[in-house]
Amino acid sequence: MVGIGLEKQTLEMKRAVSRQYFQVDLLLEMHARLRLQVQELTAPANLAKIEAETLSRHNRLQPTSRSFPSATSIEVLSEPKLPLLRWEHPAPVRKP
Amino acid sequence: MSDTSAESTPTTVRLPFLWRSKLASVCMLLGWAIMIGRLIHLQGAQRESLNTRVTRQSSFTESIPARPGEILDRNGHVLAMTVTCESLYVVPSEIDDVADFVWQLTRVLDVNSDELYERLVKNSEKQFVWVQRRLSEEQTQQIRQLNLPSRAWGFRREYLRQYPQGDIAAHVLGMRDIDNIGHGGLEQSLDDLICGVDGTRMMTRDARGVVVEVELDRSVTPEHGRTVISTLDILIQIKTERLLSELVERWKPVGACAIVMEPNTGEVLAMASQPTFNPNHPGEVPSNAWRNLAVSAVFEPGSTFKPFVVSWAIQQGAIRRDDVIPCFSGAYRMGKRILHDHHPYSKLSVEDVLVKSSNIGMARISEQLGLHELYRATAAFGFGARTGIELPGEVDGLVRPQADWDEYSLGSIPMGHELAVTPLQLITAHAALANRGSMVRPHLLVDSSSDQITPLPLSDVRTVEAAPGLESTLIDPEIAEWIVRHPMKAVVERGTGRNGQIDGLSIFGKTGTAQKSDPETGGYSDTKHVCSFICGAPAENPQVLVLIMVDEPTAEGLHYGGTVAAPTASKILEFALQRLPHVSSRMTVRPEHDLPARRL
Repeated sequence: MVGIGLEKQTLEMKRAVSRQYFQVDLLLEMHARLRLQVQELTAPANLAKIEAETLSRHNRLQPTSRSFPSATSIEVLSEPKLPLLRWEHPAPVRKP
Repeated sequence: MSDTSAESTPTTVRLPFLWRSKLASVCMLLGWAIMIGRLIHLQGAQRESLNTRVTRQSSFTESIPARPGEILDRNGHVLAMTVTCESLYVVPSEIDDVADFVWQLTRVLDVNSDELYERLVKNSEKQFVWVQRRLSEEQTQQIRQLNLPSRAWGFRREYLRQYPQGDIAAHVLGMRDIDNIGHGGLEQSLDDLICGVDGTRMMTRDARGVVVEVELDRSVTPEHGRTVISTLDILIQIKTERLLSELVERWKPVGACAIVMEPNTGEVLAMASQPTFNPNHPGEVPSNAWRNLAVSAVFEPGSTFKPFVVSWAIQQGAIRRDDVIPCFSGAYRMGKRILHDHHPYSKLSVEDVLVKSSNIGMARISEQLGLHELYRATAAFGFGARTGIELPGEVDGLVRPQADWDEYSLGSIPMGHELAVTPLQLITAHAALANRGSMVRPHLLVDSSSDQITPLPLSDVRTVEAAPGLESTLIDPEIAEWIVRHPMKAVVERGTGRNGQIDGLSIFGKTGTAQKSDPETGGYSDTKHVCSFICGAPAENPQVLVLIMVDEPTAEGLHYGGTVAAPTASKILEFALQRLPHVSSRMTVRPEHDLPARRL
């Protein structure tokens, strides 16, 4: 009976070990996928594109004459739609 | 009588009982003996065969494919890496209702239902037919939810090569096909090292088929593919490709290429070729985009060849730097031919022969040098032989044997005609001048044994070792420096390369415009040209060289290297010089490449 019990326990532990092997495989694969995603998102070509789009939108929204920015433009600039990687934050607007 | 009967009764009862118990005991002993005998037989005589049967039934081997290695740029940005994906196969012999099976699959997959139906019916006896390979995660999930008969289909895991930078450096990287075989670029030339060696995993399963043990002692660990650290700098590469595609858009050539190189080390910082392709979408590659023009295009170099002849002539003592060369007012007879200059000059200094790109001046210099030395110069600068860069498809160029050269060659060769070179050969030869007369082998792999790469102690990442860069001295350092700092610098300051000037930088360069041969007439075409511009900076201590080659520019009727190629080359040069401090920094390869390499 003791022998059978030990045998069962050994088998259970072997199962656990083999499960770990498969877990390692899965985690390695997940790691590779996430790494790929990070590399795609942070690819310099993509970042440059985002920066160029942000700059062009920024330029479009800037008033041509020297005046205080209108309320609308400030609201648009403050929208959370801007990309996460903002190198420069819009300058704080002084209230008259 | 009664006593007798009374005595005899117990005896008659006892005897059969005794016999019976003896019989039972004997039977039991016999039974035990048989069982022991059988056990001994099983454990002894049949041990081997039974063990084999058990192993065969409960153990199975799974192949563990080696994960192809990554390709990184010199700062650790991933240029190519591998993920796994599922591929769907079916077992036609196990499908009862093929029409329904196909209908269900076509709800999820973008496959031709008629074609798939025919294929399954035709192979109805087979055990394995691919339906679609490399499915997306979403498709895999959807197929699982279809509840198809489990014996009739399955997934197989396959590797999928991904290029996170998109079409950047496509010609340098190449690509891997659906069977994980490298085609073009580093993927092909380093295929053996990148692929790795597959391993096996031996496992034991119970009666229900559940894996109970991974037998480590009988498993073979896969040797994953080795990581390639290239000398490319991703930002210089992007800038080069963008500017080259702008050039192509404006001048509409048949093709164009650009190379950025560190002349002192031979490291290629960027290499671009147009038209290009996106290796993530191999099915959409135009047929003319596969060629990497930087190593496989051959063209007559034109005037970019002149500095080699002048430097060799000075080296051999055929001319001196302060000589004055007669240029015969723009027309000079060589045998039956008359050689012309774009502008007539009566005489020019050696420096001005290069600055004004005088063909007659070069012909006069080569006459003093002689045919043999001219041939030696051509061979010494590496023309007519592959550079040995780690890219497939590199060609030798075309330099005819000296026996085939004639008196016209004395006029044609110094002008960069009558021989064909690859852009890489040309920039390598110019790198020798910029590197004080020493030629280094151009290469694309960072030498991981150098102090540029510092693997962490626990890192199990194995990198591909770069072949040692060969170096040979061709020209005296003094002569090479003079060529770069005086005539070639003056080319940009006041010569044909003025469009390549950058404020605040001392640039040296040389333009080249060569007519292409016309197969119909057998002579040179008046309308088809190859123009090029090579430049470097700073002239006092060259750090970066840039070569642009444009094949048959068609727009605006212009075809001069100084007009078409020089502005783009100087922009790339300016950017590369700005990046240089970052390029030279050390990097660390981290285990598993979990993050872009850290700069120290």
